[in-house]
Amino acid sequence: MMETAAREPAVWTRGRSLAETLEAYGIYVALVLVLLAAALLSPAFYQPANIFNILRQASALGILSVGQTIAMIGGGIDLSVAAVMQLATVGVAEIAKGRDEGVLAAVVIMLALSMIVGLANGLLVTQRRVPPFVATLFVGVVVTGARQVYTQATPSGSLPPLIRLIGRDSTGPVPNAAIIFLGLALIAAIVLRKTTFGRRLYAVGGNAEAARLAGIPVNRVRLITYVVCSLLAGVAGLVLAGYVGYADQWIGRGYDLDSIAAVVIGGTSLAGGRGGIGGTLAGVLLVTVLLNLVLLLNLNVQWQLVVKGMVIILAVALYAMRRRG
Amino acid sequence: MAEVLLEMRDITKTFPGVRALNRVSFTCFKGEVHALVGENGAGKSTLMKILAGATQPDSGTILLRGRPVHLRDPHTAQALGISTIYQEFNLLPYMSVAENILLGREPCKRMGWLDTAERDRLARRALEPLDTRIDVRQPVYRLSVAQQQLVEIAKALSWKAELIIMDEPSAALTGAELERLFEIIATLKARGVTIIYISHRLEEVFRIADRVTVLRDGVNVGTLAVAEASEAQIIRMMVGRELGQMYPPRGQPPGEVVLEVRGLTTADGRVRDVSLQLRAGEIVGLAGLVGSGRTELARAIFGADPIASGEVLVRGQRCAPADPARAIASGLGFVSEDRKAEGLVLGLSVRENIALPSLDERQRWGFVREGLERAVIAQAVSELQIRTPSIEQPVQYLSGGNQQKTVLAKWLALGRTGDRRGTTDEGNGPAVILFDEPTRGIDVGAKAEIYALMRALADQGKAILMISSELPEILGMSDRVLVMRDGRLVGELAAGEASEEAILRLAAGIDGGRGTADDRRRTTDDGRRALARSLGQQGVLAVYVVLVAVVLIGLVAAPAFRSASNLFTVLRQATALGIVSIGQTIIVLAGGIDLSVSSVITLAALFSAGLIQDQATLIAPVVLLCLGIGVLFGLVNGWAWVRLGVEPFIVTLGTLSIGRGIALVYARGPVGSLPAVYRSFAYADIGPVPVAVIFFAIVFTLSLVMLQRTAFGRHLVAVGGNPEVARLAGIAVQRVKVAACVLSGLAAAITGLYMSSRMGSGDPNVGPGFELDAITAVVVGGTVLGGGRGGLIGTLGGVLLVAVLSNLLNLMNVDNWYQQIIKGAILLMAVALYRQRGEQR
Repeated sequence: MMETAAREPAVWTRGRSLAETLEAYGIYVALVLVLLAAALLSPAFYQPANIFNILRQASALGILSVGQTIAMIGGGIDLSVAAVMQLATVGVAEIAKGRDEGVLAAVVIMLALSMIVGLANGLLVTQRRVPPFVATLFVGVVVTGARQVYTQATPSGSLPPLIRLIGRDSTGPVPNAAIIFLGLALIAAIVLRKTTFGRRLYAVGGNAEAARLAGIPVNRVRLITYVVCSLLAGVAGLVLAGYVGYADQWIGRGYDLDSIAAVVIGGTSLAGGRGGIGGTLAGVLLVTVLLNLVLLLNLNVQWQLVVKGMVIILAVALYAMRRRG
Repeated sequence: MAEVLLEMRDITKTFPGVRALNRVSFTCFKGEVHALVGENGAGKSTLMKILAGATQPDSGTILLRGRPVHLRDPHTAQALGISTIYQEFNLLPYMSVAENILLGREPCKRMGWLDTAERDRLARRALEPLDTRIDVRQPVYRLSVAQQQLVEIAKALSWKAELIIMDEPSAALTGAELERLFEIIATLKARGVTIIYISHRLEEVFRIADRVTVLRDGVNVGTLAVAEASEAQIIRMMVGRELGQMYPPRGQPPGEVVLEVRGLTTADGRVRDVSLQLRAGEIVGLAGLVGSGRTELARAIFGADPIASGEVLVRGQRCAPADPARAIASGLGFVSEDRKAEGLVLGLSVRENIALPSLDERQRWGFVREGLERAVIAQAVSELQIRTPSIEQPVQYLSGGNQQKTVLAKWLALGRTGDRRGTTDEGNGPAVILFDEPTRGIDVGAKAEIYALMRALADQGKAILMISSELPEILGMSDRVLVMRDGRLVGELAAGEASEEAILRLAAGIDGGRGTADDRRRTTDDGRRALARSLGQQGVLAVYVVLVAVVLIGLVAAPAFRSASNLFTVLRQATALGIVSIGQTIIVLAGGIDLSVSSVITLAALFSAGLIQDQATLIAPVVLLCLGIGVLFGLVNGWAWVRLGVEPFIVTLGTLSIGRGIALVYARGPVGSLPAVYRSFAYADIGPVPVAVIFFAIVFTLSLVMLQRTAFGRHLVAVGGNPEVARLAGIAVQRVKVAACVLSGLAAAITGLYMSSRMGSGDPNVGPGFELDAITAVVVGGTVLGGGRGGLIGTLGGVLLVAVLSNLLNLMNVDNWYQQIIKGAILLMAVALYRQRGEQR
């Protein structure tokens, strides 16, 4: 009396209501709509230079958001990502001192440092049972302080040309930063969907106790998410440095809440256990495009903040209404 | 006594896939004790939920005292005199007994000021008929389960309940407590209260009920007078067929010993020195009353809970404790009693759930081999006859029986790919499977299937331990029956000698004396109570301990720290953070959070300076305008939270951004200027004490009083503690939440006004950072981010700690940047100290 359906297309599964499908794909629809609106509102939008600029701009935030997605699917959150990103940006400038010879060492050191911060976050959450919100918040404060001590608050200014290559230049028409971003996003998406780790992560985020009773090392899984998230924050810092061209104290401020916003707009839930990279990508692009539109329309740049805020509330309200009714 | 109080006619209720109630009619006489029995899934809880107003019937009518009523929500039902006491009590653990009983109906003096004396008096009066000596002022978490139940009953009585529904009230009681319950029920009956008593323990039904109604498969099979009924008759009505037909015939004699447990004692003492053996091919039933330690034993064997002493051996190999992963690798499987909370990840599909424990068997380089997985899962689904449209179906849509089969399938999917780890020689899943209440909440048809599956598994050579509270099930399925009482194994019965009476005698103790039970429970409860008590005080204590430590260090290390003028400097600096933190505490207590405060602060600072522009006459209207901005943000946040259903974290993240944008559009740099009158707010002194500090003290005191002494304040904490309980008590939860948001916005606006007074102009860079600092102060002070616990006193400690730290580090000429590190580390320490012994959010 049992029916096993044949392989069904991923989009429409029997038993999945229209509302659920909309919830899963609504963000893409919104993105398409916004892109269409952009074409109508401003002919300058689809100039190749602008498009690639958008991709480049979205890269640092995007890489950050990929890491944040992983942390949030596991049921956690990471408020230290901006601090780690800034640390990487500034650190690589300080260590390499504008010369290419020191670049490899600088990059390795900064990425290792990022992972150590992630480890600290993870240990606080899993061993000390500090709530992720609080733990990562304070670790971020400490990291920021450490960075400021190290640099004595003077902007480093000079970045090695290799870093500029990553952030500013392009391979063919496509910006390198975007390649790194999309590449990392692809890897993350594959890991989440196709590997045993990804399966375990969704289980841990969805119901940690059931996952534990199924033999999954819950603490280890969570620890890994924080390490990966911080590592990606470090990478984002390097990309951002290359894109902006210098490393000062204020670079990347506010990116932690921005990354959470992008992830949440993309459909990943704060509670964990659902969501994915695809939605986050769309969320990052959506936010970046809207911000870009504000500029193209010659509005005061500060309206970007207003737009960002409204999009956040609107998007999550829609998800909430879908889930309830 | 034959007056009809309640009549439910032709009630029908259907859930997707199952008809829970099929034209059920049910009548209660006034003043009777009416038992409602039936197997799990028979429809008892659905019927009672409808009566309690928690769900609506698809069709049918309900008449109370002869008049039709529409029980649209629990509050309506309660107001009409129908009170329900659920298995999981509807109490707020961190509020006092009196507050819980009178929640939503607190006696007030003028202006919402609580009349605490009257409240306590009314609470004592409600407890009177129950003849108990509970102190109504103590918090509920300190009471034992039995005492909490008394509080629930008192609550029902104070609501003038004419009908009290008790859902499995004896489940968590033992010995003397149970006797008390029966006495109380007799007392209630004498007062004319009608009681619907839901239980699966027939012995209790015969003890206290006047009539009994039996439900089976959503149908009312019949109502009997208890005096004229027999147990066999009731069981027959419940089960619908002779016991024998439900259960498959026993299998071959058992083989070798597969599981051996020696002297197992758990860390919390709920299992004591248990030894047993399971052989291949046998099903061993584990019986006992609730609280006897059966589940704890299974969990300990499986490694889910820590062991104090003892060993577990699977096929002669020692199994390392306290790690389910190792238990699984050794060959154990565990089907827990709560499949939704512990057995399944509801958001995932059938396939993903079944595949979970055996992921490593079907991977290459960490990648899941999907084709192989689908084949294995499909086979498991087919073998167990799990009814689902596809294996990709989210498991939450399956019926209870199919969900339970999915849980079982998880274990059977192990070892299907030739990986022989942890399996029987046939390579077909674990050697031992522990079942805890395997057929709870499952309809009769699915039950029979599960029984057949269990016997088939045993025939394959597995050893099965089956925990069950349903004696017919134990008797029908087991080759042997083990009985537990108070954490120990007290008896073993072979299939031939087992009977309900024999089991009950062992489970309850021959002479019914359960002194040991009470003692043990008391010790565990005392331990838990002491822990909980220390928890409640721990947070506040931690922050003040750290504060005192820092102050002492300061007094020793920095001479400048010791002056009075420095003290006031610290206090003045604490004022700004202090006021906004008061607002943050209020909203966090209500279960929310407010990130937008920094934007409100900026806007208030900007507009006050920018609009007043040295004109003293404009001070009053502009101040009002700025306060209005705070209120506006609060209203928007609150509306989005309660109406749109968006989490406060996200909402206020959005309004934070919007507000910031508006502020920066208005001004990119410092603007405006302020007259001396306005500036005196921040700088004037009254004697040695700054005006600002006095102002803060006043605001703090008013807020503290509001939270502790007004009905609104208590409602706010209740809403944060458990919105459902608050709603049930008639509290306007949505309005309270919005009010909390408004208060937070208001506090932020005041802070902004203070900042512009301090700086003499409006600077858009003022504001960012306040939101996280305020949350820091609140959290460090011991208020829990989930709501319902903590308070302003802790926040004050947090604020002072932050201010003192900054001041001290400045005086010691510590580099600005080191200050960040030190502050962050100390705050982290304060939180970690508290969290270490508390629960996670």
